[in-house]
Amino acid sequence: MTQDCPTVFKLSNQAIGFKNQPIFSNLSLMIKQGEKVAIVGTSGSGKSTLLNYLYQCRSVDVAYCPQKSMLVDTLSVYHNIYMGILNQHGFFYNVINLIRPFPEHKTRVEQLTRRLGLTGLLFKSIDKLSGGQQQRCAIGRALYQRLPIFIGDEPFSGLDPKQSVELLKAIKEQHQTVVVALHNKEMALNQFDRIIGIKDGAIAFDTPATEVSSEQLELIYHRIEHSE
Amino acid sequence: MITVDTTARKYRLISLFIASLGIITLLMADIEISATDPMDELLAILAGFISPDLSQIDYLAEALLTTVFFAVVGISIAATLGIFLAPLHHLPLISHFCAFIRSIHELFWALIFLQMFGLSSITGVLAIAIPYTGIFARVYSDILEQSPLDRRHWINDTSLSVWLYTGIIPCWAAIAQYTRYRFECGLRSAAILGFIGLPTLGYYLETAFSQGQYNEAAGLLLLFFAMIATLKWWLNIRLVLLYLIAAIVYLPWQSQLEFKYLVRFITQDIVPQPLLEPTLNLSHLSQWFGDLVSGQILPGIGASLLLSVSALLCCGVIALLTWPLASRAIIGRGYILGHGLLIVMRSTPEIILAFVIMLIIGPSMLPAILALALHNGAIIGYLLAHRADTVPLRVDRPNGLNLWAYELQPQIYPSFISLIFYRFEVILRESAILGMLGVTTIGFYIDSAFEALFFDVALILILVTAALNMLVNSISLRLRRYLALDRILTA
Repeated sequence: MTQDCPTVFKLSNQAIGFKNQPIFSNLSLMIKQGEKVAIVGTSGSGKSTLLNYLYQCRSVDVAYCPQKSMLVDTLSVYHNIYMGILNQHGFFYNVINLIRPFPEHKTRVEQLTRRLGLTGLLFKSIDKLSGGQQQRCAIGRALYQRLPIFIGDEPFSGLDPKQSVELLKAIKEQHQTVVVALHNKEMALNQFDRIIGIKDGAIAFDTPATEVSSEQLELIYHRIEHSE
Repeated sequence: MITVDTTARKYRLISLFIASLGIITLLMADIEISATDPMDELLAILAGFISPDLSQIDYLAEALLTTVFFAVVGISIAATLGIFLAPLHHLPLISHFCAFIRSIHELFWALIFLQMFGLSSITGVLAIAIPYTGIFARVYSDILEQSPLDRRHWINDTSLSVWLYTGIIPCWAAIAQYTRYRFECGLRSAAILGFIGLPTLGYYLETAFSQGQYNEAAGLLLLFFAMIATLKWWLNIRLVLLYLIAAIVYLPWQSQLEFKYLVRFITQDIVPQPLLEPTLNLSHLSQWFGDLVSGQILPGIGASLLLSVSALLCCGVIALLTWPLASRAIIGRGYILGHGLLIVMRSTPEIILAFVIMLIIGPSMLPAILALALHNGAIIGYLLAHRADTVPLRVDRPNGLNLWAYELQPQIYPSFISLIFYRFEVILRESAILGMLGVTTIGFYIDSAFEALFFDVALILILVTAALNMLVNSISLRLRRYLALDRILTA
């Protein structure tokens, strides 16, 4: 289905990481528009570095959800979600919105919070929310940007499987291309088209989700159980 | 209806409260530019900075050495006493005693000792050593309390070696770092002791400024900045011992003290005058005291509070405006210039700053407000910039002004409010001594009383400032706890 679509990311023999000590010394990877890609690998295998790099490649088109949500603690859910589109407006518009939220954004963000399971928390500050609620707010910031590509670095860790699947559904509806680093094996197998396994700074396997062998997964997940 | 329950809102309310108080006091304060040609004076002073000149000053080396040695000896005594008082600081008697001695400003201590020892080095050293002992005892005890080891070890076991091994040694780095920082403050204190006649840099600064010798004044001020800026190269623990020996040899220790004068000072001069009358006349005493309260204490406290609250608002505004200039995340490489500006602003003692501003715009409360605001605003701005640059940022962070408005300012605002509360205590303490420049804070009445040789009045007024400072500190502490602000600075 994605065969004829344009390429979104194309890396050939790329070195990624620190200048003197690259984490990936020679990485080739192609992701096409419309693909839903899960990236699996042990902690420290370089997933975050790779996602970070992909984000930098086309930051204008990418809604990014980093591993640590790193929201602004003192500000409300509303403002933290609005922060996704700061660069789409002028500074004074943003400052006015900081003091007095614009009704149009308020309505839209409120709709979004309902979908995220944050109903009624629109004007509660981040430091008063649970870890899971904060995580959903971070996903909200990405969704509010309405960009074609979503890159998430373990955006569902700490959320229960049912919630995760629902949020992923929302992410997929909103974005053509989705690249997500995951720990959850079932989710990777059932919800994504393609799975890329990363080990020791290289791609260990890169196959459609339906064709992943249990040996391949064992290679990654066996290690995860030990390392965590 | 959606309820608003954000931490930002809490801080907004606190800020609005402080701002309203500040605006009210600013409206009540005597603010005017009374000088006829403020621009001319400003340009003349700036011209002095373009061609600073130290060649005309006699006794320059002596002034420099006296300043450094007062600080070295004073701080060394204070640090030593502080170390021994720290483990006892949990006793109410000790902690109140320490709070009392640090709530009286160095200059007031100096004025007291001046009457006893004259312009001797003893006056200068004691004036620094006493208040700093109170400061060190409190802060060292805070540091020891955060020691990784269980503090019961040295609370219950009074042996000196247990205290040394489980208290001092694990905390040595923190203690040394704080002492070093306080040494810089000690240098400032030593310099301003010149304002009451001791032969330190401040004496020559005041002389040069009041005689309009701006080239010399600029030279002295730049020398002072250079001394502070190079502190890390010439101050370390091994050299301190050398400086101490040099100070003891170099400083003139003899004083005009005669035993009978000292007795007279303690038994007569500082005793409220009606009490010395042959027969105790209660109505006379109460009238004397009533006049003092209505004529000096209440107006003095009123002016001190007015000045402090006005200065606090201006200080907050300056801090909020200047920290982005010194933040690498916002300004980029140019932050180093902002950094330098803030360091110069905070290195200048308030009283010198106020004196210079008064020369430019003429006497009113404005120079004092500006001096307190600039000095303390720069200190807060510097700390905020440092804090802002340690805030972890996402790769998809906003840029420039958006980064400032949405990311950094909201994240460092709790620290800002916390610092403002803490700085109010410092501003209030300093506001008193600015009275020596003619602003009618309580320090003005103290200075006048000393000049008129009413030592009994002076002593009562000094005790009143101490009580006021201690009262405000304890209110501020309770308020900070109530607003849960203390966690922010230690977190």
